[in-house]
Amino acid sequence: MDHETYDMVAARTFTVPLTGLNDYGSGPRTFATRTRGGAVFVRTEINRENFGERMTGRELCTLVPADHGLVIDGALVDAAVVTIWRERATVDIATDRAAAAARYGTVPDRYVPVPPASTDLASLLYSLAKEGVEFAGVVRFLGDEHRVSGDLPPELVDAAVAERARLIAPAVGAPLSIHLSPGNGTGDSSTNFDHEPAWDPAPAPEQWVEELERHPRTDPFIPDWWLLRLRQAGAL
Amino acid sequence: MSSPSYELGSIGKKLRKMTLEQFRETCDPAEIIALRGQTTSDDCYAGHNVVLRALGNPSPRDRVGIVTDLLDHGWEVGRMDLFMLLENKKRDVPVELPLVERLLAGGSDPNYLERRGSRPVMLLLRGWVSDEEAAPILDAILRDGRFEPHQRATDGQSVWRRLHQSRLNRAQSIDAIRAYCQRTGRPIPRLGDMPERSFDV
Repeated sequence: MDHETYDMVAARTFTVPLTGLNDYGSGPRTFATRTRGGAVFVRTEINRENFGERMTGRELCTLVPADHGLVIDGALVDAAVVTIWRERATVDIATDRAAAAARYGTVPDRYVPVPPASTDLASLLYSLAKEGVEFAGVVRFLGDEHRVSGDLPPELVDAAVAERARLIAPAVGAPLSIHLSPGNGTGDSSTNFDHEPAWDPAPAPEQWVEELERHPRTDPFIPDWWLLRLRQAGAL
Repeated sequence: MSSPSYELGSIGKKLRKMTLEQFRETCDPAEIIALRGQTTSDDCYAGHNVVLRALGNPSPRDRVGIVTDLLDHGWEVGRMDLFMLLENKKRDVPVELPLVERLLAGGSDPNYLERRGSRPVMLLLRGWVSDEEAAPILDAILRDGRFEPHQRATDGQSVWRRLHQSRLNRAQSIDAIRAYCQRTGRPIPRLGDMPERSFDV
């Protein structure tokens, strides 16, 4: 891999395996590595590990320890190249953050309070799980649309859509997906504000610009992958 | 004759329920300090630590008054004191703020990890008080400078990550802690840096 591949790597999303974590994800957070000829390389694909951390390629470049290379798609990238990538990634992220802050704002004077927590989704999840209903899936949101992936009862989808509508706040944004499952038997939901949902096909970058206009986020609440989409759409 | 440890344990149990007036009528802080001098217990063991017990008093006014009296008479601030104060669900920020500042100045640990897994700022911002209401106490902790927002509870979440999960109601506190990280040179984590297992997005 050479310098020209930086642009491709920087724009990708990796799930980088972590080691040293217990069942709850606590403990030291260490990148999984492999060694070749005495050199250490950070791996970018989950193998036997349970935990991974999602990040863009350029975020990864800024986090790789000094003197470490990278393993990307089985190919080794030398530490010397990663050092150059790190410098580029640091500058690129700072540039995009500054542009996002100028265009979408940063810390507001005051946040608008959101309505009190709803128990509708949690109650429905609990009752379905207790009844032994088998379900597991994700509801993904973009703009005012949603799409279900997996097997979810219609009433649960409706409850998730209502919950998402409640969880919209100016400056902070709206959930991008809600993951629902019986969990350990009492119902489990995970609300995702930060990770790029796995839409298939992927939305056009312009749709992420529209989503940001519809549900505004200030710069600190815009994750890096979204900055990349904004740049692709010419909105930075 | 009972041992000093037993005496302190007995007093501590009463302090959890006493009013400040009852404490001043029935207890002599100097005697309590003297009993403490005769024990060698861990400052984080509530069985012998009457201040930890008093900090669990459900009335903000009474717990602040009793603990302040004891500190005025020479009781030493312990590492766990701030945690115990913030563990109370009933909060009166104007009444408690001076004690928070005193505990921090005395060396109480703003990052203390209690055996059930939480840390003081997690308790402060766990949903019982609004961001605006809690802001003076959070500001006092941030002014102290020892707070580490990236230290994790036993469930793997850092204070920072837990705040981000409830960002809709904690954005003001998130901003304050982010500014603290920038001011003190602490790293600002990426959005979504929580390790996830099988979380389908």
